[in-house]
Amino acid sequence: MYLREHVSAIGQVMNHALARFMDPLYERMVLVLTVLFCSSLALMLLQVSQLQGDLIESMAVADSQVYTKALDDLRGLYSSDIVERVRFHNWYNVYTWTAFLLVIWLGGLGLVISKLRRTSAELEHRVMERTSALRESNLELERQMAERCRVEEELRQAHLDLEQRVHERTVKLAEANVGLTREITERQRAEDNMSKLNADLLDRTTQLEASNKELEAFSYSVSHDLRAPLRGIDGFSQAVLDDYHDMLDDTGRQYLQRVREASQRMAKLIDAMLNLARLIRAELTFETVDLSAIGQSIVADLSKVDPDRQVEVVVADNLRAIADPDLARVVLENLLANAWKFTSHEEFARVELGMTYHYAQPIFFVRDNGVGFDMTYADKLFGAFQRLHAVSEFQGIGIGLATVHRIIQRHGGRIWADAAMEKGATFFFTFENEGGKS
Amino acid sequence: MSEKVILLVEDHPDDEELTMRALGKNNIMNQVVIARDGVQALEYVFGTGAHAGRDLNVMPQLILLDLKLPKIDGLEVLRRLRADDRTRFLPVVILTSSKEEQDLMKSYKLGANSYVRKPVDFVEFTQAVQQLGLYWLILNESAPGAKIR
Repeated sequence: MYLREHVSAIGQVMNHALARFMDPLYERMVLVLTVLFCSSLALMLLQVSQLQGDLIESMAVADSQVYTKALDDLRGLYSSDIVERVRFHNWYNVYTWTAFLLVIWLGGLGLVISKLRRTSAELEHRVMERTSALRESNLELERQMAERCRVEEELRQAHLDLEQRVHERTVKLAEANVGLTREITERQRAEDNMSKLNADLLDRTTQLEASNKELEAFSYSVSHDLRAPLRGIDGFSQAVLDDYHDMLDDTGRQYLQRVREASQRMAKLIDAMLNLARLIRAELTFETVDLSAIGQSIVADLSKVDPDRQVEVVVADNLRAIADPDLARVVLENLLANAWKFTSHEEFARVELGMTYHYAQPIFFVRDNGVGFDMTYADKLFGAFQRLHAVSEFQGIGIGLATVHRIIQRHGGRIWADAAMEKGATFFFTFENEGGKS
Repeated sequence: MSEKVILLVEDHPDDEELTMRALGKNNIMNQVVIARDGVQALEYVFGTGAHAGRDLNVMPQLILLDLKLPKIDGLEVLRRLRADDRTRFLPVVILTSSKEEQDLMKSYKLGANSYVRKPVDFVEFTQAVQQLGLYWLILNESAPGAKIR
C-alpha cells in the first residue's frame, strides 16, 4: 500500500517534470529554430546549385561561342578575379548565412538546453525536495503507522488483557458460584442437621423430663413408703425394750438396740439418697458466691459440734466462684466435714480451703493432713455409698463425695483428689468449664 | 381436757399403734378418734356416712393428718376442711413420713397449721408427739368458731 503510494507520488512528480519539459513554448522555440535552420540551409543549397548552374551554362556558352577565348582571357585577365570574387561572394554568403544560422540555432539550442537544464535542475531539486518531503512524510507516515501499530497493539493487548480479565473474573465468579452453591448446600445440610439435632434434643429433653418426673415420683414414693417400715422396726424394738425389759437379758437388749441402730442408719441412707436425687433435678441459679465466707461459717459450725477438737483451719480470703449458692455450700460442707472427720486422729490437725491456678483457671482445693487414702482406690472415691474407710474407724454413709461430684458435674466443673495413706488428702475442684464461666 | 378430741388420720396400723403409744407415753389422755383414710376423716368431721348424726358441736381440738392415704389423700382432706366455714380454723398438723418440698409447699398453701415429719427413731418420735400435745392441746388457743360449732 505504501509502496504504491510512493510509486504514485514519484510518478506524479515525473509527469509533472515531463510536462514542464514538453512545455509548448520550448517545443515551439525548438520547432521554429529547426524550421529556420532547415529553410536557410535549403535556401543556401538552392543558391549554390543556381550559382553552379549559371556557371555551367555560361561555360557551355563560352565553349560554344567565340567568346570562349575572350572569356578565358578575360578570366585570365580580369574575370578570374571577378569570378573568384563572385564565387567567393556566393560562398561567403552561403557560409555567413550558414554560420549565422548555426550560431543562432546553437544559441537558441544553448538557451533551450540551459533553460532545460535549469528546469531539469529545478525539477530535480523539486523532485529531491518532494522526495525528501515525501521521505519525511513517509517517515512521518511510518512513524505514525508504527505509532498506530503500537497503539493498535496496545489496544489489542488491552483488549486481550480485558478479555483475559473478563475470563478470569468469569472463572472466579463461576468458582465462587460453585463455592456458594456448595456452601448453601452445606448450610442447608447443617440446618437440616441442626433441626434434626434440635428434634433429638427436644426428644431427649422430653425423655429427660419424663425420667425426671419418674425420679421425682420414685423419690416421693421412697420418701413416704420406705421410711414407714423403719419406723415400725425402730418403734416396736423400742416398745419391746420398754415393756419387756425385764424378760430380756443384756444380749437380747443389745440386739434390739442394734436393730434400732440399723433401721436408723437405713433411714439416713434413704434421706441421703433422696437428697442426692433432689440435687440431680434441682434447678441451678448461678451467681457470684463468696466461698471464703461459706467456708468460714461451715468451719464455725463444725467447731460448735466438736468443741473439744483442736484444728488449725486456714480459709483463704476472696475465694469467689460463679455457682449455685446452695449447692456450693453443700460442696464445701461435705469436703470440709470430711477433712474435719479424717483429721480426728491427728495430734496437729490442719484443714485448709484455698485456691491455686492452672493455666489462669482458678482451682479451689480443700486440703487436710489427716489419714488420707490409697490412690489405688481413687476411682471409687466419688461413687455413691462407696467408702474407703471402715465405719468403725470413721462414721459415714459414703454419700458425701458422690453428692459433691454430682454438684460439680452439674456446674460443668471438675473434681479430683490427690492423697496418700497417712499423708492427708487434697480435693481440687472447679465450678466452671475450662472454656469459660458457666 | 377430756372433751378435747384428737382426730388421728392414719392408714398404717404400725404408725397408728406407735402414735397411740407415744401419746400414752406422754400421758395425753384425750379421746383419739382414728380415721384410716380420707373419707373416714371427712365423714367424722362433717358428721356424715359412718358418723352421721354426730354432735357437730364437738370438733377435734387437733387433727393429726397423714398425707398418703387411701381413697382421698391428706391434701384433699385439708382442702375440704379449709373450704368449709365449720372447719376452716381447725388446727391441722401434717404428720407424715416425707419432707418432700412439694408436700410441704402444698400443705402450707392449703392452710396447714404445722408440718411434722415422723422420725424413724421412736424416742425422737415420742418427743415430737409430746411437744405437739403440749403445744396444740394446752398452749394453743383455738379459734372460737371451731369449738362452738
